[in-house]
Amino acid sequence: MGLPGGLQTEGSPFSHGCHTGVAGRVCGSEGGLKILNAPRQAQPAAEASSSSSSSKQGQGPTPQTEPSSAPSALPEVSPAPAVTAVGMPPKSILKNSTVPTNAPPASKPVNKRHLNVALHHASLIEQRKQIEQQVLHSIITLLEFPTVQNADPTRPSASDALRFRDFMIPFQPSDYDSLIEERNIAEKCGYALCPHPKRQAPSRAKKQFVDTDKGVEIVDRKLLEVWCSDDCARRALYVKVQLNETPAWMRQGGHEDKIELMVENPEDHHKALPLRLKKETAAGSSKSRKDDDIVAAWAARDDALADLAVERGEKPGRLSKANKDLITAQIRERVGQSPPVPPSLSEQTGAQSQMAIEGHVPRINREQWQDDEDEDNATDWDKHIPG
Amino acid sequence: MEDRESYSPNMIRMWRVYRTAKEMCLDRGYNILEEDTQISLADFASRFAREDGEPDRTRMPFSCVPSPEMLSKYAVTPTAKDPDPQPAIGSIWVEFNQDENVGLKQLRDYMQHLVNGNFYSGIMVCIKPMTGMALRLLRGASGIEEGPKGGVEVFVEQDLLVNITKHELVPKHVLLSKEEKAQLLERYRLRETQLPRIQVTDPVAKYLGLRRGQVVKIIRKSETAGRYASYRWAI
Repeated sequence: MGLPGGLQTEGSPFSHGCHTGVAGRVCGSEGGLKILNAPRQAQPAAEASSSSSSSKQGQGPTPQTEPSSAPSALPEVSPAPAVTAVGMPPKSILKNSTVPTNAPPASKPVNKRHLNVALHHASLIEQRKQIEQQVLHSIITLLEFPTVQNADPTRPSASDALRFRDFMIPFQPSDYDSLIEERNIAEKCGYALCPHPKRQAPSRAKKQFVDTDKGVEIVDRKLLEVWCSDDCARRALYVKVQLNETPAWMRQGGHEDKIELMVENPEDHHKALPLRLKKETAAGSSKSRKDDDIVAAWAARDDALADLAVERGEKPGRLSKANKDLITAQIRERVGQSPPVPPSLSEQTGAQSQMAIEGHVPRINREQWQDDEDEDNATDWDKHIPG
Repeated sequence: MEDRESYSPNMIRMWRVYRTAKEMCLDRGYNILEEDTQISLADFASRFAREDGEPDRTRMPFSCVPSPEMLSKYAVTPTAKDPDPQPAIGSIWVEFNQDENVGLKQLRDYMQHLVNGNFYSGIMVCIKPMTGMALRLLRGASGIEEGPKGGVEVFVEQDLLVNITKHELVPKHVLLSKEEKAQLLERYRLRETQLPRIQVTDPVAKYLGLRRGQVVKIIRKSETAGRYASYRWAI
């Protein structure tokens, strides 16, 4: 690149006389070659370059170098016309097709296809960014979890569990690790539904001795201080192994697997619908609740689905599990009319087989071969006969 | 040399980090006393040592305000809509975090503190690199929403042990103001995209706190030309 030479200064960026680098850039590669030959002559002309270019006809440099010596005056006026206007046109040794590189590029009509491809890729990147932001916000929210004080990790409240499972959908296992890390930094147990602080190692040493079945093991203190208990570790890792390895922005289709939690009250979570949860907290007695709930839950289902549809609107192009009933098309198997006939060896061992090279019949012998084949299904043989 | 023996290694480390942080603010153009950047180890220890001889990072944070030259350098060209714009710089808060691990929690607390204290920007110096999610928060747009206007910069203590701009192989970097940048582009008839570039994650760019779109002038010694200046566009 010719630029650094052009930017050479003696102190201030704006007070100097050497134009060579910029000139080289302005006039393209051929002009740059010329400059190397005659930089000294070019300089005085460059000082006067802001005046009109035609006034420099009488000066020292040969006409060929002139375009390169007056760069700053030239970007709008192409060099050749300036020369022809005044005197006899000298024959240039340069190619005729010299277009000043500073001239605005010829406005090409926008290629529709290229534009669409660019937009497509831009939207992909945008979607990826959005998902990364979504994961980040989920983690920030999950730092404060559980929302209920003195919650029990084995029996999380239904609303917390539902939100937690929803948050987990775009997560990758590595994101889940970050969540655990962030919670640990905040001095909490790594399992997001556990309110307890993380366990404290017996001493502040970097490595700790741990008794296991296989004997004593030496473990990093950090590893010991991740969970509040082994049960919590099991529950948290139970979620982690269900997470999808593929990044959320690359997942196809809507098969967002339901994350299962290791809980002791699974019946609460399986038919968890938002409205029902509110009822649960409001209504006290559990006996009458059960009967009402089945009706209320189904009635509330439509509302919940509508809510979900609003949420789904945020991420277009992705089917969610609720969308399954939109697919109304019936899939019909194509059933063969006749029972399948096993391929008989006799055709191949017939007259053509000696032409075959490892089962392939060269084109030169193909015609005969095809006729043979066509005879088999006699219904449409006339279509396939060439000529 | 003997008196160094009497201080803990952590103390000496922290002293160097502190000095570099002060020098960095001075080089950026904030109002800082020259002698502040040359605080001696003994003075530093007397000011910031705890009883056990370790440095007390909670006492070290400082703030500074930009000097008039810096304000003019960051001046925004007035437009018809905004005839009297504020310069894009303001007071800065430099904090030395004492937590072993810095995550989202600490970063958000810090941002909240900056907003409450009405600081324009902040520098957070932590012991170890931040977690990935915290960096994502810094990078993403949401960090700007809840944080201060000028953003938050994060340094690891290790990066500030030595002032890299004092190294003989590091040329002098001078930030150009908006006006100077416009003059430069006019002078050479360039578009800014035609300039060579420098990443904002470049160590010197981080030291100077360059923002995207700014142009920095790099002056280096040259055997053939004496002094040689080139310009780079921060990206």
